[in-house]
Amino acid sequence: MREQNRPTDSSAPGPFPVPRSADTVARLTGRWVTLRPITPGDYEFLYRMTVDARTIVRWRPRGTTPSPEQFPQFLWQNVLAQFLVEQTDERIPVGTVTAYNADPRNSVVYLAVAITPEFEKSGWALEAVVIFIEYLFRVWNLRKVYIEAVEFNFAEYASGIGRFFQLEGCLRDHEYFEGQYWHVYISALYRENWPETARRLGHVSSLKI
Amino acid sequence: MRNKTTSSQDDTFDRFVSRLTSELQLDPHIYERDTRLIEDLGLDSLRMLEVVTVMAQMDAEIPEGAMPFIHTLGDLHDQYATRTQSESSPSGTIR
Repeated sequence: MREQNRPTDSSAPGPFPVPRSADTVARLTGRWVTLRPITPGDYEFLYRMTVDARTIVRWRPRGTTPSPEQFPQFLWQNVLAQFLVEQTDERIPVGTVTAYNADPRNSVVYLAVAITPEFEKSGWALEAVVIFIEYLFRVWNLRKVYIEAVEFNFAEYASGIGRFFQLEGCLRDHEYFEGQYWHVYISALYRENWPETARRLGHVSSLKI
Repeated sequence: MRNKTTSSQDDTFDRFVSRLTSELQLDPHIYERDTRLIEDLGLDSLRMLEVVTVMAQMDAEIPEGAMPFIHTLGDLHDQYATRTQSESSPSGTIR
């Protein structure tokens, strides 16, 4: 709120403004999934998901196998915020959403999502991402949220270029897999575009621009 | 190839597809019941979430477990018809 819009009150605490209240409840539940904090009890599920043959080259480890002992460090490395994605009704864990490599000087952060192979085509991953981005923009004064993806992952949401996000860069022939090098795409969701993007993806944004 | 349907069913399907493709801003095209969402229309995961959102806006929210069984426009229309059956007019035209 701009300074001129602040309420005035003769009972203000000395020379300081009247304190305002705010809705500080984080909305972490959607149509299908809920985001909840990760606890040590979730590590076994997350470890198995991370080293699953079907996801191991698609997610952050990119084929490496962190040891179970080092896994918590791997999981929390450079993380700003991270939640477990749970199917809302059955409370079945289905993946994670992660904001990492935050750059406070430039007000940007990177986003990663991992969903177990059984559910990756269900739409739950995208709903989790929508809820998480809303959370990120509400809690931090971020300008942009970047998503960096190898082209075979990017193909899953490339239809959103120019509609929901901007393509900001491409590292050509950057990442090796299966006998060839693949492009890595960097796209960005802009804060000012987020409420309309969220609406078109079925989410009511409460973000104040 | 269009499945065997009555003319009123065709009309309902065509109206449904017209609204859906308009909301999704898909290119004008002749769509059939067996047009596949991924292989023929090229919908990716993001587009599929938009489909779910548009269906919900059309009062035809797709149940959580149904998405894996929806492959074609005909499947989507069946979901629409089922969800809105009680609210449809006797002639079967969509609202």
